[in-house]
Amino acid sequence: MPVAEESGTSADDDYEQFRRDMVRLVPSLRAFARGLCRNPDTADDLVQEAMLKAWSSRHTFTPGTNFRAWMYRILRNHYYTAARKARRETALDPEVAERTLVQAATQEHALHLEDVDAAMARLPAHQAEILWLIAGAGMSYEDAAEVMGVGIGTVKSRLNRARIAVKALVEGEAEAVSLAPAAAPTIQITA
Amino acid sequence: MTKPPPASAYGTPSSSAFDPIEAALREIFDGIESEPVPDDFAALVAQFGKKKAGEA
Repeated sequence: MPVAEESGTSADDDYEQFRRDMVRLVPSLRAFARGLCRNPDTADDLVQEAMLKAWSSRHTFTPGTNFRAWMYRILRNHYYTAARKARRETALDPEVAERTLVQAATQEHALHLEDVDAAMARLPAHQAEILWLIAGAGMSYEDAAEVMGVGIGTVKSRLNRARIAVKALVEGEAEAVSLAPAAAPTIQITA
Repeated sequence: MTKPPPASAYGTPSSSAFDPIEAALREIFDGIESEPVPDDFAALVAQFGKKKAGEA
């Protein structure tokens, strides 16, 4: 590994650092994955698969570069690959349905995390991911662009559209409340 | 884990308006981040250590 040789460290040192960095990122990766696929168990599976992929590709990572963006990008790509293969598996998460039902029974006018979370579940994936990256993970536009493999201009325009969309869902359609994803038309909320 | 609100929670760089939706997103994200990590992650990482030793 040329970079390791230049810096005077061994490849084993770099891989140990790589492993430590990956462990540190696990909580954050779990949060991002949960935002993407909504289901906690599926999200954890996704993170573990991304970690395996990252470990097997560790020789392609250059120490000293942006490890977080590199890991997030692997996870994101893995998610979209899996989603394309099993598009029909993106059905309503039972936990989301339960929260939705509870919300309908106790609804208040204040902004609740559940309102926002439920609205996020209804956003197209590419809009949800940019909000999770920027607002959730606190990434810079530059890092988000690296994760998504697009330019900063695209990040800004997607973010703008996502902000408008989620605001409309939270504020405008709250009564539709149900805020239940369209994928679950059988769920009915009674007043 | 306590983090300051994301810059985006205050809108665009030229705006100082607080965005409650983005603040909520950060709170949701932080909530998941602060959950205990399931044990199977530790098992996976231990497996990485074995692979490294095996490769060396």
